[in-house]
Amino acid sequence: MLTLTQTLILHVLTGLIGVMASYTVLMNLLGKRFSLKLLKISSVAAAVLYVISWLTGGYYYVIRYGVEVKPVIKAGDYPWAHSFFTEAKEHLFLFMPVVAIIVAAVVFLYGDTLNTTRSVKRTTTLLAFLVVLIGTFVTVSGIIISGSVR
Amino acid sequence: MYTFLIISHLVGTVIGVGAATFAEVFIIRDLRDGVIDPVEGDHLRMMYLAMRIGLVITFLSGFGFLLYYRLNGLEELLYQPKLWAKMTIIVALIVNAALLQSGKMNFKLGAGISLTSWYAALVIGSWREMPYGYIEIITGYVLLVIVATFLLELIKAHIIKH
Repeated sequence: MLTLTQTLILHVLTGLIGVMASYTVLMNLLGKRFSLKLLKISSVAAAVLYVISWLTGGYYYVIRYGVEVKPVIKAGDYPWAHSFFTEAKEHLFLFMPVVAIIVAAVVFLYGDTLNTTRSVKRTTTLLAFLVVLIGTFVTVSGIIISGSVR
Repeated sequence: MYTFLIISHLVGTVIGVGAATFAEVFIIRDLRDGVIDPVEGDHLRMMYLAMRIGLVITFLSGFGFLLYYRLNGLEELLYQPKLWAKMTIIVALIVNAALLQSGKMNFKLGAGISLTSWYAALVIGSWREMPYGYIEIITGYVLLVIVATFLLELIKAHIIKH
């Protein structure tokens, strides 16, 4: 069984590597040629890692953050770190596993024809970009929230 | 753990800075005849791969530091201006790579951003008591991007002419 510290580390690492995997998907889709194998691996990795990050983050929130960390932030110098960034982070994050699963499904179902059907490629690229964008915001929010615990 | 983070962060930065430098050296050398042949293209691809590997190591070890600060009661370090300036520059580097990949970035400016960002990350990371705030650092960085882009073009023009 993981300790709470290990859970937090796992939450951060899986989320971070997930964003890197989504960025790999995006970079592949942006190029004129792409490796379908790399696209499949990175899109599935992103979806799986976001689900793990979601579960570990949720567990940490319920057991430690809500009970011990949140009161400290709200009583400290940076209460907005919780009222804005934690709230935005936990709600925006919900899009990430769902959209990442859609991207992975498109890659597996239409990967062979992605280069010839431009509309599908454009939409998938847009979805991958959306995941990277939200992922970046969520990551930066995590740093802001962590820094406000004093 | 802290020593491991420092070593991996240094290794990642060294790989990135070295690859970014040699990518530019190779491009300037390869463009003397006006074309990049397949062998030269292979060398450049290797440099870009090394740059990506450097970025991944730097990125992961950088977040390792942030986690270390959080878990060891050093949270105040997470609000340092130089940390946020460095993160802004890394984001600029990543966005630049995506724009270059999609053909939406001017190649000359893209090269200037890439080279300056790697050196800026190296300098900011190794400058212990940096006396500048976030705005000053980013302003300096933007000015250096302009200077580096201009200088790279001057060097390329000079070498191609001779």
